[in-house]
Amino acid sequence: MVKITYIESNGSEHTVDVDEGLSIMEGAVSNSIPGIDADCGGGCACATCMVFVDSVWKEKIDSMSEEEESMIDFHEHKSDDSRLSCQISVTKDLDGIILKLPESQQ
Amino acid sequence: MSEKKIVVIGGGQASCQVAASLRQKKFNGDINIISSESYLPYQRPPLSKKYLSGELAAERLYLKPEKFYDEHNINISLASCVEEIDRKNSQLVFLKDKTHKKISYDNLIIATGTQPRLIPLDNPKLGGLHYLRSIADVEMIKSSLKDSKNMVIIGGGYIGLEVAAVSKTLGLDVTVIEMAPRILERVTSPIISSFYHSFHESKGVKIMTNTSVKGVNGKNRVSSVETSSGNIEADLVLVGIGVMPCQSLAEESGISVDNGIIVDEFCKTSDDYIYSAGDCTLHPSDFYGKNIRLESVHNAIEQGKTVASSIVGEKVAYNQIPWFWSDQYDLKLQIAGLNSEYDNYIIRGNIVENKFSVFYFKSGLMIASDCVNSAQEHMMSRRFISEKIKIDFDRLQNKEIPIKEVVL
Repeated sequence: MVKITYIESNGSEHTVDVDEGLSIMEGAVSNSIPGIDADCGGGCACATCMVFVDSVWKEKIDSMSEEEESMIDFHEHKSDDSRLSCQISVTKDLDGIILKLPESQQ
Repeated sequence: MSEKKIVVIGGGQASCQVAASLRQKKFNGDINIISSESYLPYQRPPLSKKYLSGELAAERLYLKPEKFYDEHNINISLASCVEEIDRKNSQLVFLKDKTHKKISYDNLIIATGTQPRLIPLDNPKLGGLHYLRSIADVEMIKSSLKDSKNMVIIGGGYIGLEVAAVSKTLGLDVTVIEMAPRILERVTSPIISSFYHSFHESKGVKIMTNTSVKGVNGKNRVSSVETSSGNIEADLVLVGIGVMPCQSLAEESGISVDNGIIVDEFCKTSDDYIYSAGDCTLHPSDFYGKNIRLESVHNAIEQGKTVASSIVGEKVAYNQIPWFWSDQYDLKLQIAGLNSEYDNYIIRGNIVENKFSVFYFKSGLMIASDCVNSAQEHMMSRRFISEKIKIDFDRLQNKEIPIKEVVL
């Protein structure tokens, strides 16, 4: 189990345990965390599971595919810290990771 | 208002969305989901892809975890079949169900989705003959897959081709039989059809177009498929010849139906107290200027949200450009809009590199796109289409020019 903290845009924090091998998106959905819609179910097809990863944690995550970058490019609330959470696998290295959520996924 | 009792028939994407959106909108009344399936609401798209290939387990298909329904006070009855909508008394009637006899509603939502179109056969119960719509269907296909060598897929649509890709990758001999002159004829242009045809053939899938099925042979299990072009050996047959809306409950209760349950832009049916959402609806499309029925996750989600808005009195009209996707091998096809009435098209990118887009135009305006391994083009085209943005065709054709810089 890996500890993940999701912080909603209103500041509400949710710290949950997620199985290795799932995605960060699945960790949020299976724990009913509001703020991650994941319309396409993890296909990197909809850009409704965006999270912000700060630079400390960024290094521990595989870099973005061109596809993911393209999808994020169209997100209204994108920033340099944006990632699609369906594209990040939960590993031991991510234990304690903190992710911020955008105010909406539209 | 908050004391209203809501009942949803159907346990798929749209149904789950109605319930989740109602709670998100602080609706406090009763919510009851009546599903004929034995599983909590789940994603269907992976059924013909990663779930079939074994990459995803069933629990990973669930749209929401079980505790979500408890936490949000949403009652779900699984494996429960409604027999009748008694509109006069605003109640549903169950005949064979153990837990319910009758259940009343203030608002009813019909989100019954679709069912596979059946192929007329003398021996429809033959072992090894499958359709694909539910987890239960895929479980049966998976168990047949283990001991099969020759697979015949009847119907060259997205479901059939996705299953062909998975089965070929698993090592089976795969033949796709298509009645029309080309695969994907009902849904896309000859360019995309021909690309997928060649790609599947390059992987070793046999595709027979202009070929109709005369029957399926076998004693207990299927042994061959008889076609207009001869007999084809088969120990596993998948029929993917389209779906039909599940509308009999609505129709029998006198609600207006055509090819789907007719709804307005607020997802209201011909009964003021009954709404419908998802694949089973025939709904107005402002953009295409006609009523359309879609088989689409995006439509199910958005109509689910529309129903929730209507119920809480927000009245937000549904007005979306449809989009879809299909994964075959390492090809990701993203589709925006409906291209059926195009009079011109532009190809961007390189077809032989498996990375290209086809943009469809009608009277100079973009109405649809098919993008293969080109996410950026897909996302941008959704904006071009919905905002009716005029495009410079020469720049669009030139893949060296960024897609954001092709506006006239």
